[in-house]
Amino acid sequence: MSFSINRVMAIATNTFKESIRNRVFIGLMFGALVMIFASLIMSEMVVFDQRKRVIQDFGLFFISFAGVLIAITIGVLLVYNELKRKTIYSLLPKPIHRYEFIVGRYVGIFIILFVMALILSGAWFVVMLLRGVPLQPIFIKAVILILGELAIVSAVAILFSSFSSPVLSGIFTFGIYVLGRQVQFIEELLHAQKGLFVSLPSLKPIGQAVASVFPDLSLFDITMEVLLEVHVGWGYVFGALAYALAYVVVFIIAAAVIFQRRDFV
Amino acid sequence: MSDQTILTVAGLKKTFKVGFQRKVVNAVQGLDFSVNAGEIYGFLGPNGAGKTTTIKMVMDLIRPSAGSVKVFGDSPGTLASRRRIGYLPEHPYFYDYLKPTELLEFFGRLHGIKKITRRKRIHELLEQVGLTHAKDRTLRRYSKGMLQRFGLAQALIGDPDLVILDEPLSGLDPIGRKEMKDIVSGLKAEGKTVFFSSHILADIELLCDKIAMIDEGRLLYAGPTRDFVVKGQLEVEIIASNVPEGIFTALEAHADSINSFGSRQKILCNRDSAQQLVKLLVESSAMVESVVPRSETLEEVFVRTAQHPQAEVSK
Ligand SMILES: Nc1ncnc2c1ncn2[C@@H]1O[C@H](COP(=O)(O)OP(=O)(O)O)[C@@H](O)[C@H]1O
Ligand SMILES: [Mg+2]
Repeated sequence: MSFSINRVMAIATNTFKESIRNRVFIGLMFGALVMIFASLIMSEMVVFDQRKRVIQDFGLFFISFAGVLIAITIGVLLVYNELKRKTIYSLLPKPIHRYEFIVGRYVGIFIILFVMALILSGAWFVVMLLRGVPLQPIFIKAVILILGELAIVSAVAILFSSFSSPVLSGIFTFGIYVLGRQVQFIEELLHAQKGLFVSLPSLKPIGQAVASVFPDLSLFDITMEVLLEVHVGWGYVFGALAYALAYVVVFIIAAAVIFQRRDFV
Repeated sequence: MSDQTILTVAGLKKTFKVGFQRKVVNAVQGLDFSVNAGEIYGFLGPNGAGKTTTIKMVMDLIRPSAGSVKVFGDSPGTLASRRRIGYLPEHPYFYDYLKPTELLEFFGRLHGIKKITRRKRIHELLEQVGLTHAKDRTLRRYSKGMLQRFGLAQALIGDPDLVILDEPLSGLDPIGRKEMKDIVSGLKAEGKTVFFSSHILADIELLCDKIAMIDEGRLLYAGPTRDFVVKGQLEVEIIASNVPEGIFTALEAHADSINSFGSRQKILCNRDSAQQLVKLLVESSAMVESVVPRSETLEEVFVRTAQHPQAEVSK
């Protein structure tokens, strides 16, 4: 083992340079920016005391939504493009470990998501200031938590793309994202006296598997707390980030193990 | 030059399974050869022979189904061996949004080359492969030949001891081919070992000290290029004019073939008959214009060997 942070950062920088030119990234960023500013107009249409809510809700939703789509598309395409364009044949034979390639790619995607979150939340803060909403720490906490969720989603995307086609990887990753958002709901259903698992008991093992293996992504959504001005402490934020990190480590190690065994024909 | 072996391939096999029926393709079916330090080693075979598959196993891009590869006494794919190998893939393609200097910077970083050395080296390399004029264009704007040259530059970024080139001459125009060959000779002069594949025999014949020739994943010959070529039965080509009709029957008894070109005759014969034929011609007062021993070209040797492989394999 001779992991080199220099090599990983070189690969991450290259990933960043590649993704920043990606049309999907540019398109989604632009779309989200438009929607965040559009919330100014939308907020005109509701009664006065709801205006703030519309802006907060829109902002968080579009930062998260654009982020998830960027994480999935870029995460899925980066490894695939490398194979399709055959650039992998000149990269992997360089003095690097295969897992450094995976980690470097992952770090690169995360930097992209970080930049996206920075730009979109900047726009969101501007919109809130224009509406006279004073900035509060919870806004920053909400954005950090979105990044925690994106960290997991992009790790899933890389994991799938290390062995599967981009379309399937995209579908699987999106599926895990959707189910991950519902983990708490599924758990409640599992313990409920009626509902899905009572009428269709054969689905119960699947529900249990999802509830116990899938990351609980609802931990990273504090939109309700923001809207209702419920306090969220830093302890919660760091706890959720540690939870994200654990999943990321497992997914990236799995991706690296799969990648290590692959033939690049 | 030393006799130190730096690349050894032993019993190497690769089987691919393709399609739903997992149809088996035996791309490489048991190769043995070794490359010594300081050699230019040619890897020869028609398209589909298994050259790229073999090279990818040497580069640890794909894993053998059986057998082994040793580079610098190490298994392929270790950092230590990768530091000493430069590789040009077949039909190379690179991150096309980058300029050549940017990509070489990136690869140089992966090699752990210091920033100052990197700059200097990149400058020299682009000069060496003749791309200095195009260094500010992104690789997207590069032609196939330019990509091939860039491919060579990126293979050399780490100042490797062993340079492995997969079909380096494909996609180049005649001048490009000449230049690429000169660079390969230059690498040998610098003390580097070069292993390169080609399906074009003439490219390898003059350049390589040794060759391994394969077809359908099997070795047909491995050893010195010269021995291989000399093995071809030597022919002699005699050109003569004013040959009297009367001696043709006598000539035909000794010659392999006689062809007329206007007033000239081209006579092909084996070495032993040449003496007799020239004597006949001179005595009949025909005009002997030239007598040229013609060694079989690699192309012809290849065709012959491919038809009777067992007869030629030498270790
Ligand atoms: N990924 C693959 N799957 C199935 N067959 C393959 C694959 N790669 C190569 N082959 C087959 O293996 C043989 C050798 O191919 P290759 O090594 O590319 O030959 P060469 O480089 O000498 O032209 C060919 O018959 C080719 O069709
Ligand atoms: Mg080939």
